Amino acid sequence: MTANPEISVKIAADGSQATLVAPPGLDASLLTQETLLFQVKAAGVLIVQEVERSVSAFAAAYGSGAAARSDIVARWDPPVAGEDGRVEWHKGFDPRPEHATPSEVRTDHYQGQHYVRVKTGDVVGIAHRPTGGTDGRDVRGGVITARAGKPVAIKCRPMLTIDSGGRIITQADGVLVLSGNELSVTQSLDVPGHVDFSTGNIDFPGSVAIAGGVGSGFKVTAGGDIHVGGLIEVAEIRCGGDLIARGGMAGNGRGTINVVRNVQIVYLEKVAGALSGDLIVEREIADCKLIVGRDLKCPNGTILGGEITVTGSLVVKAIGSESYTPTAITLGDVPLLQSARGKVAKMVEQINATLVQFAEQARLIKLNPRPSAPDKEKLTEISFEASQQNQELAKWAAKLSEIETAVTIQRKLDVHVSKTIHPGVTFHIGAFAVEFKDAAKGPIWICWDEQKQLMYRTGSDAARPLADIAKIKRVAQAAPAPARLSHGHGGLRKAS
Amino acid sequence: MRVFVVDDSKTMRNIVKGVLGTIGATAIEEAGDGQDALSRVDAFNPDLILMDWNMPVMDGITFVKSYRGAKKTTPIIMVTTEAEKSRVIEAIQAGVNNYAVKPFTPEGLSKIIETTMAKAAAKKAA
Repeated sequence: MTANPEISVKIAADGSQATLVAPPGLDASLLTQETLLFQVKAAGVLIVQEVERSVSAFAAAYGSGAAARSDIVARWDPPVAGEDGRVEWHKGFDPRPEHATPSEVRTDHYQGQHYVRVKTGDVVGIAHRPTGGTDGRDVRGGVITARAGKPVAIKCRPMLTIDSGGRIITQADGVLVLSGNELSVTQSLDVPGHVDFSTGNIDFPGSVAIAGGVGSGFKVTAGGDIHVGGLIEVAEIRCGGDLIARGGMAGNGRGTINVVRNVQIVYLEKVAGALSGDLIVEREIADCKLIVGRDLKCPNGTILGGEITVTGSLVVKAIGSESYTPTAITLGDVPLLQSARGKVAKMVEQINATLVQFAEQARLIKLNPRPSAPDKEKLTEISFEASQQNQELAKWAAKLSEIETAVTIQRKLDVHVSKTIHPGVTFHIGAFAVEFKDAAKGPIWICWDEQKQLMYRTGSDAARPLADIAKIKRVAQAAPAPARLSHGHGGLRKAS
Repeated sequence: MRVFVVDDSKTMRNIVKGVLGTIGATAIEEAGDGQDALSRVDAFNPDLILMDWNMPVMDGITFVKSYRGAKKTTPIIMVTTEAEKSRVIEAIQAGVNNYAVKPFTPEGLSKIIETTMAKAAAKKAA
């Protein structure tokens, strides 16, 4: 069989199709499926069933050859590209900012948190592997290699693992962060701007670093330190470590701080709260109600108005103002520990009362020389309960003893004022109220002497009675020094 | 130590469990009568059985006789208000290893358990 030169087979350059072309006027009897297939095959086209059907249809359609004919008789099988690897985030764990809860969906705009908190062992998503794709075939039968899918673009840092099933599992508590294509769990939360409606309240177990300020009405709670770069407005700050603010806090009477360790801040204005450590203020403490667990250091600033309790030493440039601003400072008191002491003492009292009840119940049962079986079981119960209560008592008594020791260590009177104590200032020291009717020029140092007399000293002068420059009134019975309890519960009642 | 506590009083079982918690029991199973205990004791495979005497359905002494009848050697402590000498003898003859009389203190029960387990261990080693 020879090819008919008048019939041509045109193959697209990319091999995607082959077209059979026949001019008019050819001898139709010679245009059989067999002869045409020969021509198509000779052109290099792979003959498959579909091609056979197309060529047969071509021959039938050519008919008597009244007109030229051109039909596509072969098509390629195009390659199917593989799917790229991807991460399917589980609900609530998508760290991409655009997937945060939309503000219009939130009912409490302050509550909307735009970061993803995770705990160890959370499965945050599934990493789907890329697929290889399906190869194609051109009309000549040549293989067209499919493009394989790309691997997952996200790289997991050490705090995350991917198991054989592709599950992305956190290995630590913290915040899930997707930075570029790196997924990590971080124990510190960075807030790049302000704490406002764009972030919602912050409640984080580790440390929090806020580049900007904290807006009014927002709460920032951190198990570790809190760093704030800007102004803290009427906000609530709860901190398990240090609070370090590069600006001030304008609380407007409603802003609060509760800090387990130290506070370092530029100024505090109309703020209430307590801290267990030192308070270090650069400029001013105005109209605040604060309890400071240890020292207050404001060597270049003023305490103006408000009520401040300082357990340890007080170093300040000035207190009060020339306009007689009432400023009350309680010194040497340990309210934070006193509160704890009160609670523990109450527990001890309750346990003792319970033990007395047990002892009385047991005594009544034992009055019967032949107790019944239920009586004997009741006595067993009482004995067991009393044993439990005694263990509790020992625990609380030890705690109480620890607190007493801490109170003794922390309580002191050590005041340095470098410039002025203005009239209107009152120091509450133990049972005494020390009122300054006239300005006392510094540097001035106030302390107890060995005879427990309130003394002051200026510069290098000898110490003089504080009563020389201030009015001292006994206002209340001094809080008695807490009675020392022995360790364990030897000194406390114990049920028999 | 795996301990099977059998007592019809839940309060008493809790008390005993409290004591066991202080002496390092690793697994505790409870039953409210001898019959229930008998049906589950093999599956639990205890190191020690603490058994009340007076219980509904099947009392403690019947359990002990039945259990020892099956040649089981797990130590049993009878924890009961039955303090009369004749009762103690009956229990010992039935196969009880030790006896704790109510009322007992947590410390007292701990001591009885420790003594019983030490004796059982020595017997096993001999």
